[in-house]
Amino acid sequence: MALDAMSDVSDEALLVLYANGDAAAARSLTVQLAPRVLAHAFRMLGDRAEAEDVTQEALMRLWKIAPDWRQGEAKVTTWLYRVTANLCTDRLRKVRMKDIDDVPEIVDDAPSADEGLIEKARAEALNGALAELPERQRQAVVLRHIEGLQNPEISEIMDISVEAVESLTARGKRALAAALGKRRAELGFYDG
Amino acid sequence: MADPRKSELTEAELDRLFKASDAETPLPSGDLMARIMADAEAVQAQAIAPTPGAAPQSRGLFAGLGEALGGWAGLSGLGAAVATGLVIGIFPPDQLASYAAMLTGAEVSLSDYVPGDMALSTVASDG
Repeated sequence: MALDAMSDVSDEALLVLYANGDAAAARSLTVQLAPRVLAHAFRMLGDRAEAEDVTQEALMRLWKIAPDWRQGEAKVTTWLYRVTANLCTDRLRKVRMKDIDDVPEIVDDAPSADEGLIEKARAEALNGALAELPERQRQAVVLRHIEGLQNPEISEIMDISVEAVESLTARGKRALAAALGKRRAELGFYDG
Repeated sequence: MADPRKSELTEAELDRLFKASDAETPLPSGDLMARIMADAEAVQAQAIAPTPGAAPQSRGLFAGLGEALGGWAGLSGLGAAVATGLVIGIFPPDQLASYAAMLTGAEVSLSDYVPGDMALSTVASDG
């Protein structure tokens, strides 16, 4: 089946096709899911190489579970976000155990007036501040405010109540606002 | 106008940071996509191919029963025992001589097989 013909097929149906030996379904799932997994892993880990490894591992788990996938129980993306978060947590724990202080540094250079550079500096500053948040707060903020998921889906991914998601995102945002408030000028927020 | 001396970003400023971060989302490299596809194909091929050394399928109740009784050798022994029991049932020990005579072609009468008054004087011969 051509990739174009699969653009309207749900992830769950694609996974069943994959389990039945359809190679095109694997390609379609990879194209749709790998960017989302990589983005989430990158924001959780702050390291591209590590995020790529997590992406490959998360999708490997998806391929392996495909024959046993029970339709209707969970969305593929929800399951995949959960697996990705767990893999990231494992890696973050290992880093903490090794006591390596390699949290990505915020770029201290003053951004140029160029809008593109300011946007890049803002993204880097945010990623740096996110890395300082407690892991669960970071995950909730990233899922809600950058990846745009709704609270019920986040609660399913994180296996907590919707109220707990709201609490985590609120605390996370307050911490980010406080951490980045001191850098308002270099982030180009002179004129509100 | 926002006050640069303020100690916290506003909600709107945070939203602009979130948008900036979204715009800077890293995309998977071609190498990563190739690695993922290679994994997918390998797992798929493994799942479809028959597993070497896989356990044989169940062969049903009678096959299992035959196996429990010792296979074909056991079943043929059992068959012989059943046949012997049948012959002994039809020809009780006191009539075995007549049965033997019949097998050897000697003349026997039906009364040899029917006890007492029910006997008929019919002579059977193997001709």
